[in-house]
Amino acid sequence: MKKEDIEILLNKMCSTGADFAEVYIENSKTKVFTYLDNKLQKIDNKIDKGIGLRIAKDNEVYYAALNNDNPLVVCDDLTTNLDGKVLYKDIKLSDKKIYENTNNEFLDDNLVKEYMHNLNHKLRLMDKRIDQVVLNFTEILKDVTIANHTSLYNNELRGYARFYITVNFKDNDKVATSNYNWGSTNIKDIFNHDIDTKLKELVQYGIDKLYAQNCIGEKMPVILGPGFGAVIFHEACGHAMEANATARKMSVLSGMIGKKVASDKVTIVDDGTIPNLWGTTQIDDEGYNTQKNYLIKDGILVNYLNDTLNNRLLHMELTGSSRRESYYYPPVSRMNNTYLEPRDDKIADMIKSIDYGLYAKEMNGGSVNPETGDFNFGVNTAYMIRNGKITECVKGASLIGNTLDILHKIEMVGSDLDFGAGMCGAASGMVPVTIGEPTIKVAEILVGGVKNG
Amino acid sequence: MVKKLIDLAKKANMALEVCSKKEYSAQIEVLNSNLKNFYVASTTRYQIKAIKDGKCCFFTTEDLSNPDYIIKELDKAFLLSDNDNINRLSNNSYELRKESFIKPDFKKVKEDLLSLDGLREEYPYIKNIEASYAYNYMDINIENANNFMEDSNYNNYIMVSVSGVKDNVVKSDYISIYTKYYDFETIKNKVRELVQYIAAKFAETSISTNKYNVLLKNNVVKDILTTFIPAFSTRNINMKLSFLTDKLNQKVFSDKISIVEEPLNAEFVSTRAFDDEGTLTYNKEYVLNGVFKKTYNSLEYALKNKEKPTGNSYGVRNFHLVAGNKSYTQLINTMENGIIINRIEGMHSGINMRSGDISLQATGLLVEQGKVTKTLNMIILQSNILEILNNVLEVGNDLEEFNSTISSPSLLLHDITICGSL
Repeated sequence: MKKEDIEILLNKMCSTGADFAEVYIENSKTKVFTYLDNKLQKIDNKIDKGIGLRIAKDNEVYYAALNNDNPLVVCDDLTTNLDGKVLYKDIKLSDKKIYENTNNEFLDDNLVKEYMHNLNHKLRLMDKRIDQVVLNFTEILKDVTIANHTSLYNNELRGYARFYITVNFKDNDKVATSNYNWGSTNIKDIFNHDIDTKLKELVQYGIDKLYAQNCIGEKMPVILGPGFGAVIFHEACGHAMEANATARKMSVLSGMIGKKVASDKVTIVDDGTIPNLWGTTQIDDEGYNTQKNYLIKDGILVNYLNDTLNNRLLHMELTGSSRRESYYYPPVSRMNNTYLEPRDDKIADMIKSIDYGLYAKEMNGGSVNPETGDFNFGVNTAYMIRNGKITECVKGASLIGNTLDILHKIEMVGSDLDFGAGMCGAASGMVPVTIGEPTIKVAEILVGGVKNG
Repeated sequence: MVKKLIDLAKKANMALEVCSKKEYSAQIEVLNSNLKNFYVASTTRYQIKAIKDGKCCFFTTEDLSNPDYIIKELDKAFLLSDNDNINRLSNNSYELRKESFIKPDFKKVKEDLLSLDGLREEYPYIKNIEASYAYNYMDINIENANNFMEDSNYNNYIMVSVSGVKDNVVKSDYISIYTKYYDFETIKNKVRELVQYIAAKFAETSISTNKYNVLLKNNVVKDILTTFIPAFSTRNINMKLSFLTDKLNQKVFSDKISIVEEPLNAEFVSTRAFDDEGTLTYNKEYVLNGVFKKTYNSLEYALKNKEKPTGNSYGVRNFHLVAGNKSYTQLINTMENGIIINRIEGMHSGINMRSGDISLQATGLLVEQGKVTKTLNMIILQSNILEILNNVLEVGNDLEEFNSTISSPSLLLHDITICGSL
């Protein structure tokens, strides 16, 4: 869409009294490679191309998503909802600011196929109990242009690549699954990932899980491994710090800025600028620069993740955190790359300090009710700790707790900070996020399992 | 544009079919006495299926303005992929079943939703009432060089979330309803029940980990079934990704369990005459008296396995566990002592489709001598799908046909582990 056409659209959007108007233009290409049964089964292509129109008046928001209609006509559906004094007219956009990115093309298809073929071959040789190897590779080029009534006119070409390995194990009637994934916002960099150690761990975890015992279901101390173990913070406090919940007092952390919400060892950062991480963008989906935001510092809540419209209720600084899956969704404040800062506790000391507890090595996703703070997440690979030593592998389980309780129970924090890539689903759709932490010890949390004895 | 693409494909020696989905949706969201969001969407998406030299590739797009690019990328995918997919294009005929498109009166819906805030006068512990109403209408066309089919579908979706506060403790829960017909009185009655339940949640407690008689409420069984649906697909069974692999025609569940799919039953909200590949849908029995009888497939896996195509290239429609004859109240009386599970969370992380293991955050009610005595929170349903569908004492009659894809009656079970913190 030409600059002049966007200006006409914005002026029409403001013609009935809107105090905010925004046009979001998206053009995305996606390629998904699926390797299964020793073959590259398919390459699926996808194109998303559409426009999101958003107007607001005070705290009411009106949004239209379209890809098949004249935006000027659809605009009427929005503007008829308002009937007030025109606040913005003769809107002229600045020169388009293009956020340069060399990350502007897909990998060669043959290179992807060769990588998948070699990886499949290498994995299948690692253990005869491997029953199936499923490999998925996704690459996305997403061109977004954002313009609004303040003359903002920005463009960014974003690149995403993610590799996902699933390995099934079988020994007679016993079955187990193990998986590993990594993602990058630098497509060219995706295969420069040293995975040999990870593959060995993946296979070892799969074999251990074949013979896993039932876990005991009770409250116990838990050590969460580095990287995706940070799902505990993503669920326990991340969503509860998003302005979409805090602005309307729909979060357990609403109104708690300056208060102690976690143990002294907890410092949580959300940083959308870290090069190549899966949740990184140069600008957010309202067109503002992403930045490093401290959210909890030494246990004190210091900030929320804000977006323009929710911030009308909060009156805080913007944090560059507005995100959406696509033009189909109005954006709201979301996490980018969220991590727990490292401290200096030793993992050996954590294990030694536990008579009876759980060592969770690999985690699944989770969910939370931000208003009550009740949350859950899944543990995929775990081992019991008995008398200060790691012992038998136990079956995966859910761990559940409440924000205001569990954050105070983060007792020890290691120095081995690592990151994991995931997809986070919320009001504005699925967005790529990174979560990170060093190994931590939680003094007590409820673990799913069977009755003791 | 579709015809142009089909013609261009022909020149590149491809047989091509396009499934077009034109969707119109609108949503109103209110919070307490204020409108929060109003949303409209008008989109068209094209799912392209191409066949060349015995292989099949797919391309999904919202933009047909550059057909050369689409054909070029399809050609690259044909060259590179190793698949031996012996697929074919649709050759079925179907007479249009056009659903009447009744555009809702959004002004009335908005007033209705805002009026829920009035419940505050009766129930002063209400903290927030967030209500949303969504309307979705879709036209579906399938077109190839020799065939054209069209169908349509619409539904309404209502979700109301209520939170209450007492002594600085916040409790919340929600209801969700899929329906063909917007009926505010039914919604309001359900919201009132929800508000009353929130009051009981202020006294929530946990329990000790043990095996209990457990009554899984219909919405809970529906959530579990929904997560396990892919386990019934021929693809996942072929690929050894399902707990049902190698179990066809075996007794896998209690003989009280039968599971069917009724894509043509107009009483449900999600009827479809044909799937995204133009295969005509029909009613099917997947499990009959505990015996696993059937898988569902797309054309690719029907041809690979030499099965009859089932019309499920998109998954399933109106898939449900067959109802028994006891009411929900009768199930509670029969249980006498045990736990009702009325909400589960974390299905995407707490369920393993291959092993069937289940570990899910839950809330519920403690039943003693046939009476509800406590509300429960911070508990975990710890089981396996085979255990749940085998330890069946009774199947309820409360099948509610409101879900778009899956529904179920409540199930009374014995010896199910519930973990708690006491």
